[in-house]
Amino acid sequence: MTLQDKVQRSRLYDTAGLDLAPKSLTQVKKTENSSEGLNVFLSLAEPEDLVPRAQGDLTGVMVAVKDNICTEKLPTTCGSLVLKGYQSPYEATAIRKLREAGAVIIGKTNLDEFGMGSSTENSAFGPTLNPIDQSFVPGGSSGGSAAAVAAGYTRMALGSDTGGSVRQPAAFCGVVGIKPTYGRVSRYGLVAFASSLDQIGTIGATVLDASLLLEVISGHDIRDTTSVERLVPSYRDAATQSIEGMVVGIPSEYFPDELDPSIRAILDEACERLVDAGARVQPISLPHTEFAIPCYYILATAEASSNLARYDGVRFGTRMPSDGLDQMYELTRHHFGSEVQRRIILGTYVLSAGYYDAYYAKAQKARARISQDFKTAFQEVDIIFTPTSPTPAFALGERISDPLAMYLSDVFTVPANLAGIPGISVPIGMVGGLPLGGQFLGPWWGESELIAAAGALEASYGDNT
Amino acid sequence: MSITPEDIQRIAQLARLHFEKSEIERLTLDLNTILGHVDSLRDLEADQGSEVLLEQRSETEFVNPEQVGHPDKLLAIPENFAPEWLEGFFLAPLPPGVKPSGDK
Repeated sequence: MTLQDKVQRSRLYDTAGLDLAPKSLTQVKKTENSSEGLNVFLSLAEPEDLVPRAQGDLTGVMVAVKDNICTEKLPTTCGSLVLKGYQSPYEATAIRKLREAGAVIIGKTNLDEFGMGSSTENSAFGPTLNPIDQSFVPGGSSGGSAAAVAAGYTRMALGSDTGGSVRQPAAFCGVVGIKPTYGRVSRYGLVAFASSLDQIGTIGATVLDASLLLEVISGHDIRDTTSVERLVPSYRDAATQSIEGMVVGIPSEYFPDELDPSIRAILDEACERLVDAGARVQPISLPHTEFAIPCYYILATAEASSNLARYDGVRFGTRMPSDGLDQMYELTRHHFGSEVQRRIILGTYVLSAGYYDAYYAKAQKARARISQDFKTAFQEVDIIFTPTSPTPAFALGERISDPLAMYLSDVFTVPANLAGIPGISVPIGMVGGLPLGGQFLGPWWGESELIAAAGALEASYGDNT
Repeated sequence: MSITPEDIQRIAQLARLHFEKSEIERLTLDLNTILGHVDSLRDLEADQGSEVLLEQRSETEFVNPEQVGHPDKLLAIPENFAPEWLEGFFLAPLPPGVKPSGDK
């Protein structure tokens, strides 16, 4: 049975009006260059690049790649003027594994600059539009990758998830996104934003697509000391496994009173479908959830301020002409967009003398508590079910001038990155014509259980067609 | 705690960033809003915490490179692969406006 035969189309995709038949490179170029273009790609392959270099599980399958993952030939810009036209001298391990499985890279997708944002509006090369309604954002920061799959350009795409950057855009675009356990996929060749949180993730038109892609790129890598030598299970098989007897935790903190009633109704329906599939639902508490956003925006910006120090005009990308060294640094780094500059300033501030204990040290403790919450919860339940985001996609421009409102949209996704646990977002319904995502979180290395639950939920919607 | 335009200027200097006056005003406003939210961390009780994080590390099985059996290229002698190398330092092209000291 081929991959195409095994894929089940969900009722949700039809509702969203998405055409998931794979497009040719020519069709993609034609659409993107027309008035219907979504600004999905920052660079596209040439036809001769679409010849598989090997035979494997993904022979001839086109994969879109977020433009912060290093590739040979195609530039790696991170959506930044600082790296405009930058050509990496090597490829990421995830890309090497894709090529060994026979996949071909169709192009590099748009993103919030260096992964910093939740809407893909922070790209130096313009925002990506949501394929379902072009007046809405596709989410971020892997908005280009999610839009590429939702628009039917590819069935699979790579993204990166530092605080929800794979799961949230997948939810906003009505596709499936997986953030693996920290250490499951090599970060070699992923441009660093916040190294203790970053992880390459997969986006697919279906649970099976995203799972198969994850299976291909997972595994230990000598070039990334945080990757872990641990057997990679058959994630593709997990997509169709039974969830009979599985205990699903419903954390009260992720279902606040402010949640829109129509969203709550869709989440309740999803819980009922899980029960119908044989799972048992159990209320739980993750009491330190309220500290996740403050904790994340201290730790992520602190790490970013250090990681982005390397873009000084000496070693990478853009170098501005100047009269002296200090001026060269400042003129070059003035090419960062406003959100990146804001985060560098915040990160430098929380690490500076006199403030370290008040912010960074406190945030480390909060991170430990959040991690402990999950550890305690997973002694009672197998997996956890939550909304992926408090709302469906928001309008272009709606939150771009309010950084705190933008940060708060990550409230349900950042805890998984802080704890290092895996998560998956799967479409569960439509609100006001826009897709809504449900999120499963699992214990460390529990990807198979998450995939099984997401697959069961997806199949339950498919049964209704 | 409140952040001032002078704080922003000092931090910008540390981060090698340059801002115009209007940008500093905007950043001051933004950072005070964000730090106002972040201050909720003060509610976190001052007991335990980092101990849990240390315990959590055992969840991931870090690999000893010696067990893997591949040579670590980063342990190679720099003179063997650096384009230019002098007395323990890499030599990079001189940035604009910097003259060679001539006393090497």
